[in-house]
Amino acid sequence: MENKLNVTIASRKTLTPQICEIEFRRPDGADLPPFECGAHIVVETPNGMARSYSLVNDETENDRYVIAVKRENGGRGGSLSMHTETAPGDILRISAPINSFGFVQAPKYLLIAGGIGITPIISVFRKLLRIGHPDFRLIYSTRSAETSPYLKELTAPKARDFTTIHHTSLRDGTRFDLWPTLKAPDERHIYYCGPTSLMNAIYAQTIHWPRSAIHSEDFAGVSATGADSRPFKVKKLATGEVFDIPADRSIVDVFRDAGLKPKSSCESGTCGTCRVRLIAGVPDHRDLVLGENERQSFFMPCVSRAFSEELTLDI
Amino acid sequence: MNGSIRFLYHYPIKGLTAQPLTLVDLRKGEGFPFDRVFGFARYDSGFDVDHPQPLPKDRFIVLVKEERLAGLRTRFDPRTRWLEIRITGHRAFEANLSTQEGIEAAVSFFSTMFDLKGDTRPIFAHAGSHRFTDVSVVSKEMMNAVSLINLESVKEFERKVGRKVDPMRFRANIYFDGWKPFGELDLLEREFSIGGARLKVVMRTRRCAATEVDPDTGKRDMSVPQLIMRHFGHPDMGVYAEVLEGGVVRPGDSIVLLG
Repeated sequence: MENKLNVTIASRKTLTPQICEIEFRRPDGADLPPFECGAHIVVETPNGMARSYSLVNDETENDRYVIAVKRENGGRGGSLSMHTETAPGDILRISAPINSFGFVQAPKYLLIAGGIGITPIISVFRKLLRIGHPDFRLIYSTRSAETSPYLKELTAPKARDFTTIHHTSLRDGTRFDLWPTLKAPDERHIYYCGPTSLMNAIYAQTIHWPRSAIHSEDFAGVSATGADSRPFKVKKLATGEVFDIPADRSIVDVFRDAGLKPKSSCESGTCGTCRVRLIAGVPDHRDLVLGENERQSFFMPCVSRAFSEELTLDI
Repeated sequence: MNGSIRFLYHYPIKGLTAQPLTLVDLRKGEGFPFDRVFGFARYDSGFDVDHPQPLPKDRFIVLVKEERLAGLRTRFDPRTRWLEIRITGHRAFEANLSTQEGIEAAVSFFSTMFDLKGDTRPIFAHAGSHRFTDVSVVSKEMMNAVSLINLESVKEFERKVGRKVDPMRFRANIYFDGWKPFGELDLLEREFSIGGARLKVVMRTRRCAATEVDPDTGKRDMSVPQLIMRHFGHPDMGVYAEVLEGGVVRPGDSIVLLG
């Protein structure tokens, strides 16, 4: 992680039974690096993992970062650690903000959030409300009112004029019908985030929209061990040590098993944390991060594999 | 080898949805009726309706670059030129492309979809019997070749990669089974009969990145050319064939190697 900084947990707040909000400030109270709405930071969790979280507070606030963390009991333990092993006053190490969403000036906006997918969307919503943008709408779909972070804020006077709330539990599990609003592409820019099923549905229903108008945050990503994976070897440049990578394990998995601590976050080739230099071998790039011009010399060991028998990595 | 025809398809508009056929009346030296006789050509394709020349596939809006095309379910009647586009089951567009207004509306639909503004808007291309098949650049004969996929080869590929491979990724005219896996690749210049027609294998089909696109989701989800190469040592799946003798072909007809 480049540009790391230490921050103090200034406060914690329970938003829903599963979601807590955590506020970071600099230990000395100084300003934090600026960010744009929709940006995320990578947090080193107390149990040693790296996790990406959207900044939910308004980009005009330069003295604090606020994140909302959903407790995932079935996950790899990063969010659980944030829930159970942090307290106000603790110091955590985080990355500088990464502006992945890219806020674009547009005459109209459509924001769509499903569940915890509200986190990269809420800061865009707050910005549009703050600047008095005349034409935007948030469609916020959750299971129920009790499981909906920021519901009170979004249904408060003024904000509610721009918000459509849909609780699936009140509609026999039926999802909000997005087609009427997505049928005809127009000047709107669409920002969306949510669980995989919602992401897929919106991708399909906006297939005819120009990509320049579509902005999404996908924390689900791709996998390193699909069925078309086969074993190969990785040579570590610094030591010359060679590691066997089985078909069903990623490079990061194997290095971790060996007691090493490769930098990694999303484990799905979407965040960029694990990037290393590629020294030799034919890479099978499977990430969604590296640009065409980077693929000659860089490599994402969390998902990517090899076409050659061996790769040499500066890892 | 003795097999059966399973499905027949044509693709009236290059790059858009496969359209099933229940019967094809093949003619000597001709391809499938109305197969790839229309296309949305890039603004800089050089397409000239009065002097149609074969164009490489990258001059069209096609799946190789634009996997999102697979997210559209299109239905085009080549006789009336009525185009309907459905998205996730909903009707998103319909127009008659025999009118200037209809063509303009369709060009606008694709211009919006692919961020092609002003001078870069595509052109609705068609020129009589001219076909925009991928191999049209090879020769006039190849332009009119029909494409075949041996479903046994696709099954063998599935076994190797350990996952489902939708044969529709390969966008062939004729899908058949009952021949040995990849046997068709070794039959260059050999003749075979299907229904009442006689054809000759003229070329192996080298696959491109269009096959990486899942026809159902419109996402690039599998490195098909690389995987074929890795497992079989070549990038080929299916063959092209030339019609030597015309005749009627239907699903269920047998496909028999001659000589």
